[in-house]
Amino acid sequence: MMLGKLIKNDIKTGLYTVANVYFAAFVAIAFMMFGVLAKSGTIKVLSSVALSVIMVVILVFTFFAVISMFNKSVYGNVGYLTLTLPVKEWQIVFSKTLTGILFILISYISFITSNAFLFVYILGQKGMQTVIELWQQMEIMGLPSRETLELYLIMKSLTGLIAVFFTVSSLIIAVSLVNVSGIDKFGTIGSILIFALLTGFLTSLANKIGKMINLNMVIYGKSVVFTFSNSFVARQNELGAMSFELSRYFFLIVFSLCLCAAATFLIKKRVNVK
Amino acid sequence: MSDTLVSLRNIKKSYGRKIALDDLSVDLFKGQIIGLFGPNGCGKTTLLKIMAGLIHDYNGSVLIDGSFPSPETKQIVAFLPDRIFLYDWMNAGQALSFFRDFYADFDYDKAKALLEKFSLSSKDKIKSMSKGMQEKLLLSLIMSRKAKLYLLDEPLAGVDPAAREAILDFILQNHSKDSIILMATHLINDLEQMFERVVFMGEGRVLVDDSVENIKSRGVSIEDAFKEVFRHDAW
Repeated sequence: MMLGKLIKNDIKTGLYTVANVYFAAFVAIAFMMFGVLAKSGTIKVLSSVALSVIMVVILVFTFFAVISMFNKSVYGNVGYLTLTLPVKEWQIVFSKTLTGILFILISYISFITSNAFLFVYILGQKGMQTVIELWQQMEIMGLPSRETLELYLIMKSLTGLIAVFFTVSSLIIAVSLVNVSGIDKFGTIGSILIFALLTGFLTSLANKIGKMINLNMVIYGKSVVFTFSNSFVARQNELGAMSFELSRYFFLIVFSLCLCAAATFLIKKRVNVK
Repeated sequence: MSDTLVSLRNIKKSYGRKIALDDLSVDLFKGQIIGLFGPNGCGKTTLLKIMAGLIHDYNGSVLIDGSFPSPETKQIVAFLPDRIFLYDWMNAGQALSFFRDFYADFDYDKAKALLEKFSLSSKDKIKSMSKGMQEKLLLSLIMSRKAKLYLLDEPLAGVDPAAREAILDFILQNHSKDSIILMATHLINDLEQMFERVVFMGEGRVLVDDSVENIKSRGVSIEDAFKEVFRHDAW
């Protein structure tokens, strides 16, 4: 119950923080629509460029917003409120992690959707025709079937979700380490530096262990097969299957959970809100 | 003593080489209004933060209503820090709703009445309020809880002298009789009439812990007693 209230409050804080950039994106889209109605090429071009720029800004801004929200609400003045609430420390970390994942996912989805929208908007019917032709060529060449591709994209989206979880948990521990280690004067730059070092090291570690274990997911039509055999993967791929190495994502989940647990420990034992 | 709500034993806390609390022991009893005085950096805020459950890496023992600082003790401790601790996006009404959501002892109607008393609207944005108005809002939120222990860190620092008396009355009227108010402040003159007990701190230690009645029976005011202690090299 308390966890739900924390999540509700963190979502409100997130919405307040990112609302302006999303509003700017909606204004750009409105101008794009107006450009179509007014048949004005200049408005169409300018608003399209504006939307492209805004979507990049949203991606970057959301990343920094996640850092800022966590920093302010745990280690800044609002920490006096957050850390005197009758809730457990893991609930605070869980809520912040979930909210961070949510807002980063929304920024990714918005980026992808707006790019698709821009593609259709700029190229119109010709663009759609190009996509259809590309699809037909893939089928003629015996490339993966539509069912295979759909399932592959779903699975890849799930691994994307794991990557976002790993990113957010790395951000949270980076901010926590900066604040409890006495190098908080470096602020966001310090957090980003630790984040870069940590993600670089843990990602390469996950990749190396993943390669050693070499558990592959092979997707063919609606069926999914797990295998350690490279020759099996190669044979299936020749038949139109799609595959990717899976075990590294398992380790990314393990690392993410460990990072969240470490952040909880630091908040519980070492934090001193200034 | 059965009326002990807070028991601190041999508390030691340092920030690097700087010692904030040095083997400090003190008991707080139900129903008392206690003034916590001392020069800047003497450890008052650190002591309040430990009781509020904001600092954990200290030595010694802290018991609040028989429990170590935890989410359970946070349900009975109301802490007013010396800064604005609410979210930027909140208005006064949202701050009230936030407190109602998280604290079972929060009296929403009382808080609304207090906002009106302070001429604050529920729709007033916190970031657009003056410092004095923000402090009145925070006091309304904290004192609308039926807590067992109120920890107030410089609650009147940003309030104009004219409003101080009204706020003092408000604090006195809005705490339950068996609760404790522990107030850290430099405003000895303005506030001394409200305290039953005073604690003087210096360099992380308790230098004086006495009832106001005892001090006044010596024919001195609290401020005189404070000056007497801190004039010498005792700390």
